[in-house]
Amino acid sequence: MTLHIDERTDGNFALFIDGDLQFDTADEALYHEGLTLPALCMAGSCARVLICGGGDGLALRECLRFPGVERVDLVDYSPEVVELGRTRFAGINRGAFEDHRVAVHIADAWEQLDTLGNFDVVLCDFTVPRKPDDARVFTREWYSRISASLNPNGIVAVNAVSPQATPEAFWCLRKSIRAAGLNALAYRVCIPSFRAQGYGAWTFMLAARRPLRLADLKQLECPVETRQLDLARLYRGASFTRAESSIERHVPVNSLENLCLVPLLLNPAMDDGRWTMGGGRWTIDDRRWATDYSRNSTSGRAGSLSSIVHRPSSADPSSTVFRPSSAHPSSESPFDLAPLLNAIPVTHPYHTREMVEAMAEQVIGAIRSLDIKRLVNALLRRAGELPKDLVRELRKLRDFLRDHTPSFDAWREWSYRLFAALVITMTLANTIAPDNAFAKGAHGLGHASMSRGYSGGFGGGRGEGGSFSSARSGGFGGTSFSRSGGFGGPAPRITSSGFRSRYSRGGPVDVYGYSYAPRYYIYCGGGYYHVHPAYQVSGGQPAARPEKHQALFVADDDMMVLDSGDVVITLSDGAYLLVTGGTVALFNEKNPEPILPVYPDPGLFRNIQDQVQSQQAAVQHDSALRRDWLGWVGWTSALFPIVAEDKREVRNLDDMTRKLDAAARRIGSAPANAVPASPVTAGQVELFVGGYLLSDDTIGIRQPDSWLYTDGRSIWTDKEEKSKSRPCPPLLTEAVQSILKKLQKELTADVASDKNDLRELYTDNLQLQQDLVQYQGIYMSSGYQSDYEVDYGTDSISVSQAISRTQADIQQNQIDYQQTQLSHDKAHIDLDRINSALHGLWR
Amino acid sequence: MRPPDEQHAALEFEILAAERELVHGQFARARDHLKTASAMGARKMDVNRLHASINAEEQSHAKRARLSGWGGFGIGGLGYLFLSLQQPVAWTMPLWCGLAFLAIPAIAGYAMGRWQGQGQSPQSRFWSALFSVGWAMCFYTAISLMSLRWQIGLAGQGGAVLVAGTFVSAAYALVAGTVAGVVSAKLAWHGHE
Repeated sequence: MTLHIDERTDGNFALFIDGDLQFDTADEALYHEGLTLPALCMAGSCARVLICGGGDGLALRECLRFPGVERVDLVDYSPEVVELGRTRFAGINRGAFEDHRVAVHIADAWEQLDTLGNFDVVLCDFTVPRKPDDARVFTREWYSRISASLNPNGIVAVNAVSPQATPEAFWCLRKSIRAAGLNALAYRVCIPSFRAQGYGAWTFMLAARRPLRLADLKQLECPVETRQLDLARLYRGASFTRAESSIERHVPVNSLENLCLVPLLLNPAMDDGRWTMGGGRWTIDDRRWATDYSRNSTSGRAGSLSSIVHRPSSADPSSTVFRPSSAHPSSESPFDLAPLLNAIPVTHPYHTREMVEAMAEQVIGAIRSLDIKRLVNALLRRAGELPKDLVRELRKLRDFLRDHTPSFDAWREWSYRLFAALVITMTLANTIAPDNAFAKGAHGLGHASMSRGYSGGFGGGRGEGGSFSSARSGGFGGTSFSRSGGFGGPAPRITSSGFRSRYSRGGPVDVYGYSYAPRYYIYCGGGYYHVHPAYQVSGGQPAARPEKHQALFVADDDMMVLDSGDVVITLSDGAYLLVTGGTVALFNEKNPEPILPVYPDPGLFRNIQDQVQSQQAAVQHDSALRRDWLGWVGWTSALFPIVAEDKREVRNLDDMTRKLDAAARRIGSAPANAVPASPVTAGQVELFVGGYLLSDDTIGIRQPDSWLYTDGRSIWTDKEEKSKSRPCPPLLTEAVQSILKKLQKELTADVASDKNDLRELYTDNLQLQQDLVQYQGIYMSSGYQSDYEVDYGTDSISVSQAISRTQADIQQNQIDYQQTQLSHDKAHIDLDRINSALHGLWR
Repeated sequence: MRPPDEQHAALEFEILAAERELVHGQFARARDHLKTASAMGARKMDVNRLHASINAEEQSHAKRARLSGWGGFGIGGLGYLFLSLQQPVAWTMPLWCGLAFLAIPAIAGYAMGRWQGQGQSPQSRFWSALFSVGWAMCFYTAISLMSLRWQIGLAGQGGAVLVAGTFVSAAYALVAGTVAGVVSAKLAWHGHE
């Protein structure tokens, strides 16, 4: 074992064991606090602690300052390191070895473990293994033994490896811990000195017999102050993407029978199954290799060995390797060494990847420098001295080289050029004429996403527009629809099969092709030219016979186009608005006749027209695409069912286009002299277009020629005295109640959602502020180096960038908070009003 | 033994015949005539000059034959690139079919045939043009279909779409390639063989 202490002029120093950085005094607290404190905090008790490795005494220092620690056993097999801990490092470990609670055992932890008794906390602070024997203390068997020596609520903390630089080894380690029957929770800690060595983000792993959850890390309460580690943010490093964690499925368990950790550390691109141990050496399964070859050869995992093997700095003269390819800079393309390097497993720490690479390049360079043709000709000149068979083969080789080599080179060269030319030309063609086969099309209408954007996007912002049924001020004023995300979003695409299979056979479909449950509406032709037992509007005509119409197209969550071309806007389970022929009427689903006419708000008509027309354009666009497709493959419909289905889908889409066209015409428009509703005033709540909950809990409905008011028992208009009121039709009372109840539910959900958002925004803000302070601290401690690299999410960026980005995030967070607060306040006021009405007049 | 005048005339005839065959790319026949001329006592300088010309022309011819495949592919590719500015439906189907299956393959096949020269057998010219233009058409069709289907979506039937697309690409390639091959074999040097 070689020990090297790298002294620096600023007074800091770093310890290297066998070339691996163990700690750097500049940031060692990050490492040792990260290893020890979470485990000590999460353990039920921490009276007895075992430290395996850690002879430098730094982990020991952290344990000793934690309250409740009564005894610490430290087992390290290196007397030299322990001696350094007692002497050279005494200043930084605060004389930890002199503490009376400490018992030091110079022994192999593997041998010693069983003799030490049981522990509350076990800290495995081993160096990263460099040979198979070292990996014994990372095996399933080792963790099983540790598990056996843990007290019931005990916990283990393991110095893991980097999931960034050596993902297979990291997940192998985690799998091994879990294979020992322990639950594992890994968390990353960014240690700048480790990162500077190319080790990547470092990881520790907690393991216990009880379940370990992310929430445990979130709720850490540490009784001691940390110097460098931010425990409150620790949980943020404990999340792994699905792609990352999927590696665990493919890697083997590190066990005594299969000590795979070291090869995985040395060969980070190596997968489970391709390598097997046989006869005391690692071998590769060629069949698996063949299948994985292309993937690995393009993985381009740079610096993969860096966590294990010291990588000479660029300034290090020894790192300069002779690269023969540089002798032919223009004529030679770079040779891809990755497959070759993957094929040569690194099995010894001194057998570095750099060494293999340099060696391979020497060989390749030597081969490249040969002029095969000249060599063959030279050999043939000495043909008399060579066996006849060999001469014959050489002649064949000469002929082959003459016939094939130039043409192959030309082919390779020309194919690259041709491909590049094709790509460039296609790009240009695309730019000039977007309506071609290679374009995405210029018809990015994005309209259909409105119907979805409402349900999601307006959940918390009802006042901004909301759905048709409950849109209040501004909702139908034209502004909110026209600026809703639908028009700015991506073009809708039919992604489901509704237009193929279910169109006009059952439920309605939306512009995406999704099918919905069948829906039917029975009404008397629509409009307000109908007679109702309770009132008769001016110009009333005899009612037509009720007709049953099927919903054909879902234009929005609340808006449906019927097969007749009429449009229905659902207000609640029991009430809807029918829009047709420039009129709007309120219906109760229980009765086919309209309850009353509603003022034809021009904003409403404009928005419905926009909605219908834009979705019609989307359908047309999709239909055109399919027609183009069929233009190519249509003649094979007898051979391929999918083509036949495409043909049927095009027919249905065309039918839908016609129906939407009919609907756009049938809906009509508001009278020329119609004026939009004025914004709601304080104390009023808009229930639907033209329907308001007034401050005295009565409902005001804007009708074509007057305002109609109702308190649920009687109705009167603004042209007559309340004393002359008539009884309110029960259907109207029922409809209003159902609308109020629906709105109550929606607003309750909105308020809860807004509250949740506010809470999250507040938490985010606190964290961002902490981040900012931390970045500013790093900036200062780095001597105001603006390009000092720090972790920013999963990126590593300069500290100045991190500060400016965090400041921008804080600013955006504050804006979001204010907007959400406004939305929440409005929803809350509306909800109070509706609750009051439902508990009062509209009980 | 022929009289000197007659022999001289016969010798000149052989030399001229060799030159004519050389011009027409018939190198084997040219060599035969040259051989005969040489046997009849033609001047060594003339024989060598003609022999070198035949060799040079033959090498150049072989190179052109190699490159003509790429040339045909390039001409076809450019033609289909032009066609890709509009979909078949937008071009109107008869126009598109005329361009895609007749005009472009015919032009590419003719150019290939002319480029290859008479030295190549019609059969060789046919297959060469079929593959070159067929591949161009195959790429054009496959890229267009992939692009269209990418916009439409697979609706969970990727396998069926792949089979249909491959079938159509192969069929179109075969048709266009055959047209190019026929033009290259029969029309490029029609009347010269």
